[in-house]
Amino acid sequence: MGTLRPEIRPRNADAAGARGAVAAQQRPSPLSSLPAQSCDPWVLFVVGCLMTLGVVMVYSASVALGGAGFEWKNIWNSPLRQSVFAAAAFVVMVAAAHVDYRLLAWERPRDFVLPGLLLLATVGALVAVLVPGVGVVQKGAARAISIPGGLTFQPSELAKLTLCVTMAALFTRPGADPRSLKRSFLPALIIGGVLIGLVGKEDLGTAALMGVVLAGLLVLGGVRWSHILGVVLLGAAGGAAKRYRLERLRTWFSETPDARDEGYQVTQSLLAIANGGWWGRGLGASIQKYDYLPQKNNDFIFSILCEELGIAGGIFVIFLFVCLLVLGWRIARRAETAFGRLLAAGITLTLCLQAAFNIGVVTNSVPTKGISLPFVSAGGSGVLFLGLAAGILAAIGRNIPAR
Amino acid sequence: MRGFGFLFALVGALLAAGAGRLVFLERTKGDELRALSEQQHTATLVVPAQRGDILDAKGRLLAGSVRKPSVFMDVTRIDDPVMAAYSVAPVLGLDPAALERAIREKANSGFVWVKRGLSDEELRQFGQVRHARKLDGFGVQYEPERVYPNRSTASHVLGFVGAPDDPKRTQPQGRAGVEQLYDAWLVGNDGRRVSTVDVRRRRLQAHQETFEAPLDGGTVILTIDAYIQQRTEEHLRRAVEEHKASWGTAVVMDVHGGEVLAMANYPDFDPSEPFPSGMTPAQAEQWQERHMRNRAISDSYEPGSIYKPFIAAPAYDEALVRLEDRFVINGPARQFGSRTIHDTHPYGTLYFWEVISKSSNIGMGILGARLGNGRLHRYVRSFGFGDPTGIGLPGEHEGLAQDFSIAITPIQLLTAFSVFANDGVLMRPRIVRGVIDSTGRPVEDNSRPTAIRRVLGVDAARTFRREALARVVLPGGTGTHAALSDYQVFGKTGTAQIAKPGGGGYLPNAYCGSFVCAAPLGEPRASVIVSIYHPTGGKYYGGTVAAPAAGAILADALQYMQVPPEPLLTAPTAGPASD
Repeated sequence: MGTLRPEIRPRNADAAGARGAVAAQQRPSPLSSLPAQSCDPWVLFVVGCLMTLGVVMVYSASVALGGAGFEWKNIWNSPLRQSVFAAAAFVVMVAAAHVDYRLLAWERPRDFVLPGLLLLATVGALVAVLVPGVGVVQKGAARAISIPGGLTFQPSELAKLTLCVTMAALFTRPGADPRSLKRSFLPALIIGGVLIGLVGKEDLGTAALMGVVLAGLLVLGGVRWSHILGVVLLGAAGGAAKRYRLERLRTWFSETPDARDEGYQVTQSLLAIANGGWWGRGLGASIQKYDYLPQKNNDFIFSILCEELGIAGGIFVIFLFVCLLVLGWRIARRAETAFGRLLAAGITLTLCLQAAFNIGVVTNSVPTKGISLPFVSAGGSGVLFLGLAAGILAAIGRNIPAR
Repeated sequence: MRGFGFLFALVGALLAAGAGRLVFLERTKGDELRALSEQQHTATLVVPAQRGDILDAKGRLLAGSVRKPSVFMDVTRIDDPVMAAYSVAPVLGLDPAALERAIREKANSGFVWVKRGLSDEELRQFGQVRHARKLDGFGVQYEPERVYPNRSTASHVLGFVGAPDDPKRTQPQGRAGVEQLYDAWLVGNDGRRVSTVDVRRRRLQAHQETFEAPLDGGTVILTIDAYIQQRTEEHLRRAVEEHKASWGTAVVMDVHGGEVLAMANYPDFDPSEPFPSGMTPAQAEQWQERHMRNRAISDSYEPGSIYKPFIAAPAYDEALVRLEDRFVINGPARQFGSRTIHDTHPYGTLYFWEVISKSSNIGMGILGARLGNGRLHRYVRSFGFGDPTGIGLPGEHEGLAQDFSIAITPIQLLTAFSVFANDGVLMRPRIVRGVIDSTGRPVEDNSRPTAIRRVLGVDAARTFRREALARVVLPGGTGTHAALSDYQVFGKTGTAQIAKPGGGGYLPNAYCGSFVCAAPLGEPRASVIVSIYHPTGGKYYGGTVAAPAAGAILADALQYMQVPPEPLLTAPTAGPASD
């Protein structure tokens, strides 16, 4: 696919970025010597591996006692449901990888329409979740909107992508000055604050993740250090506001987690990991999946994976995320536009940080948060939007021959 | 971009830290956590062994075990007490209002018995109601129950079972008799099933489980014959009730093998409910004393004149007296050293056999004096008095055999008397024939007769039982009520005064009437002792209160054993008899 628009160098591209771009052109990588490609295939490959692993593990973790025999008409309620979502997410990812990501950029004064619409749709969905009757209450919190057909949609998954897109667009828009309080910092803070605040109302884990990503994007975007320090302090204060967050912190700091209440999940997660040992009990042989670990197929899928495939399997998953991180780093460094660089960095940080958070939670290294393992955990909208994000990352990685 | 490398390196470090954390967890806490998990998902279910049976000599069941269904409820899982109570109570024959009250009062109990011991019909109906109305709060648990199909038959020999001392033991424990003595063999070994369970303790079919089968308890086979036992109990009961006695005891023995064919006591008890419900501890102790003592082996008393053959026969065996000897009695009283001995009738002269058949105390004194103290004592011990018989039941009293005081148990007396029937050889009495474990292997074989010693010569024993003991039952003797039409019975009566508890003389007008006998005279097969303690119906002589029952028992036993009849002896000249 060809470019839809001519390359326009941002006027205010910083010197380091310019130097990186020049260096990349001088030292051609093995990939750049290949014919022009429409996207980065390695991102698709790594994410595809994770999705496949997810389908297998979610299936294994969901097959417990009392499972009826498989029937096509019941596929929607069967453990194979995840395979439908994963397949759809893979299609979405491949499709997004072949669309020009600069549709989302704000390169000319009137280009803000598309990112603006995305932002509006996200905020609208986040607000709709809070409306009784529209939001579906799951595990004591309203996090999803029900869609006809028995599906649910979690706007917070979309909000993670929206945050990256709007921040990248904002900092690279025409006439942007990242060091300006009024023109860059305050708009970024307001937009980010609204998104994080709405998400955090029901889902603090995702909000915390978005907060960290926002801080990272502010740094990458070039905002003054003094402004950033203020944001970090504000975020920390907001995070401590809710009481049950403090409970979780206490669970974490106590030497052995209280096996009855908050610490139950984490204790069972550790038991699952220990059960697996170095090489695992074998695929399908988990014991903890028999409801000892209530969230066995979403937030704690990694524990079940470790139980069945061992620490070796867990380290392999971490290796895949490290691969994704390295690919994202390469793409962000070599992207043609400043918008692409910032967006690629934001998406990569979001995906890999979420993975690191999730692994931290299930190994009792980080306080318990409801946060899933990207691409692997069960979930419809989650895997779809993450697929979309990975597709955009792959699209940024397309290799366009130099003019 | 500013901080680009740093941010990516930070996230990479976080991911690497996750991998490091996994390795660290495995290295430091892996075994500990695995042990915890093992404990959490492993359930051990004890599969109780079934307590072994107790059979009679012909393989009839005297004590067995069944699995009894009982209904319990988990009150925390009952949502609607009214619906639950009015559904379940009618099929179990309970009062619905009372059950509803129980449900409300024990709202927090996870386990409450509703009814223990259901009939098959009740179980079927309960199952239907439970299924139809989805009463998940109710369940059926099978409990082992000890059954004694013949009710009180041989209750004192069998004993009974009660709650175990060890609370971890799943089975009841034998508390008396054979149940207690052979508890170790009867109890068997519990099995266990170790399975992997889910969080709601349901077994996971897909996971391996270990099953260790229970080894049921062994079978104890007695020498008791249930038919003879029941006939003995019936005759004993009639005698005790007719003469309004405190209690009575009767034992039947195979004279050649020493096998106890029946051992009865009256009053008795039902081993399936040893203590009638609603007793105070004091009442229970009284009940135990009155109904549950196996008096045939555990109660000794002064024998009285029933002891005479055990002095006279040795004197004859030692050739200190001849059959045709006549004793000058010149009663009714005579001085022997420091003791004065009385007869109830004044006799002039008596033949040797008349001293036994008429039970003359003065004649006995003369025989004792001829035998001398040393030989007398040796023979008394030789007959087994003063030693446990070796029958091997719990609670046996060994009796007392010193110079002038003697106390013996009915089983000792019968064992010693059987020496006359067994041509002079003392046999060890046996009541347990053997034990076979549940795999069919004999683990204790007690079926061979054991001779303890020869006490009398063959001729002496045969002659003595024919010339002296048989005449007790012939007209003119003291035991004529035991005479049978088909067999020549030989025996000895005894009427002992009951000593005051704690010593120091005797209770006035309190007697224990006994009769010990055997038949047929030619080739004796069975011996019987009957003791009737403290009869208050006016009669108390052993020949009156005990001899009829002893004769009846012997008749039933010999007929049942298909012993051919024999010609009876002719009566000698009659004369007055004492006891």
